[in-house]
Amino acid sequence: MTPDRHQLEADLLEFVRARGERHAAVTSLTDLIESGLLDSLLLVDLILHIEESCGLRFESDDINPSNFRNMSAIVNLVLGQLSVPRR
Amino acid sequence: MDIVLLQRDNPMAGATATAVRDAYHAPALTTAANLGTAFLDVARERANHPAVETKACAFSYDWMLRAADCVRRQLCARPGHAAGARVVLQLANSPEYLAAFYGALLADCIVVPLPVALEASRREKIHELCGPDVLISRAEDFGAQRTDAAIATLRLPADNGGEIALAAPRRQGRDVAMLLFTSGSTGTPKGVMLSHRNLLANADSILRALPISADDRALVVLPFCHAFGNSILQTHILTGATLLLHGALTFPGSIVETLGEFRATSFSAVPEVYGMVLKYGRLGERPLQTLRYMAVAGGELRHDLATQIADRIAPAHFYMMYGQCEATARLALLPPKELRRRRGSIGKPIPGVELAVRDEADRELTPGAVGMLCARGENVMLGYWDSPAATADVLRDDGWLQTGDLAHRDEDGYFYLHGRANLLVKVQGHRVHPGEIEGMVEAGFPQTHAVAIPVAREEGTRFILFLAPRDGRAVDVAQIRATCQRELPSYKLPLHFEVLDALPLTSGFKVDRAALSLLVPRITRPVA
Repeated sequence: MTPDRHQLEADLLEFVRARGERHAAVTSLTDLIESGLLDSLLLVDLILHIEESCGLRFESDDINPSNFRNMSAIVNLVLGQLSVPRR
Repeated sequence: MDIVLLQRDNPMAGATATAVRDAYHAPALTTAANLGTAFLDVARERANHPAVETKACAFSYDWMLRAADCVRRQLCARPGHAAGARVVLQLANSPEYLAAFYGALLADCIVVPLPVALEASRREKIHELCGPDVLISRAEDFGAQRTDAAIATLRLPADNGGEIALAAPRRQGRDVAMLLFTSGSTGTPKGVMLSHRNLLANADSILRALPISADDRALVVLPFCHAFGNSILQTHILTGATLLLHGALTFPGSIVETLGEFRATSFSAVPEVYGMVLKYGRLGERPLQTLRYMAVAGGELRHDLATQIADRIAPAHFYMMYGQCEATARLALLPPKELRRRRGSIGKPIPGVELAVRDEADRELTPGAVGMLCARGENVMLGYWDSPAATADVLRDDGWLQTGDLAHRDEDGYFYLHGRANLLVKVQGHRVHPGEIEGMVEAGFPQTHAVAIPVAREEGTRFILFLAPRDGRAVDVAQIRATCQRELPSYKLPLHFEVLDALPLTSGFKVDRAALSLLVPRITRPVA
């Protein structure tokens, strides 16, 4: 069962916006890396949150700057993972 | 307080330092009296060798020496400048950090390095405690902070390319060189006073325990304002080696790539970083030709993860280390060949350091018995700044420091940790007291009772904040959450906020933290 794109994006945006004052204005296209908003702690928490809430496991190749550049890219990554069954 | 913002151009390409493999040997640190002059001695000898490399360019020891002298002159020229003045550094890892650090020491100041992203209330409290005379920062690190202080800009390095008159600082030996602010056992900030001797002695101990040499290239992810990061900085600079500063390295894969790309010979990090690198970093898929060793400290790394790292980086070595900022930085090391035999051990004391497990009456315990881990040596702090009572709590007249960690020793003299004797928790190498979070919340919401409980996950330790009303009025979770988000740095930000009707109490009517810990799995594990 693939979640609705808008619902997933809203959930992930809420998660990231809850990180602090500077994160409150994040939109789906905010560059999380250039802006310095994505630190290693947020990356870990985001990965864990997605893995737990969507029931998937990321692999090394998935965790890279282009997949985590902005919320839209992260949503694409998650939807891609959910639609392609993995080992 | 004066504010000085540092500015610099990148050194010209023609001046880019080239590594020379000569028979350089670092000066004897056992006899050095001032950390600033020890740096000067190395910098003159290693003039053309890169002290720092960023992605853009290299900064030679000569550049560093000139830049540090520039800072020294600026500080000495202040009206009323006096030895022992406190200089706060608000600088991310950068060439400027080194210039400011050694420049301040050469001007007979006490350096107070603080994290760039420190919650405003804590920064204010620390400023109140140590009364800084000068704050040194960079525009990008200072940000839009409100201030009514005069702001000067200092361009590095000095524009005159000629000889510089070398400074002869007067402070030495047991004079305070730096204050490292950390959380005391009650959660309020405490300034660990480290003397010139403390810093030199611990660097010397580490250099005798780890194979650091003048041609080393250490990839740095630890902030220099942290005890572990500071010890990476001092040991490499005092050896004439090179520090590689390649940005945030948020992605585990980029750490491994950068190690290869920039021919790093060593890497040191806290346990959480190794967890991520193992899971997502592709460590060991391609050999890291230049890597000599990796080291971990600043928290406990699970044994199975440690052996995995060791396997994946062989023939490079993996060192487990243990330390704390009250002892300057590092205290113990587990030799790589003992990693599998001494499961979970933090190793033996490094040269110049004594460790012992003692009971409440300060008597040394026999092997196998669990008690307070204590440390003694030239690296043990002078005490906490302006807090004789807090100092007396941890520092005995005979020179033994109580680490606050419970431990036992085996028959062969290897030490093993058994958790904390107090509520302090390590999060990504930062020592956090639950009271720091609780106090911040209760100050803003006095009608709410807040208790922060640590949760250990595979990815590291974080907090859950339990909230209960004091007077029956509803708890405003949204407002409390917003306040935490605004005030707390990310590693202190609770992962969950859980409201209870009342907090469980022990038979002594204190908050039952153990009972709250038992509630944690129900909260963090979603129903599948």
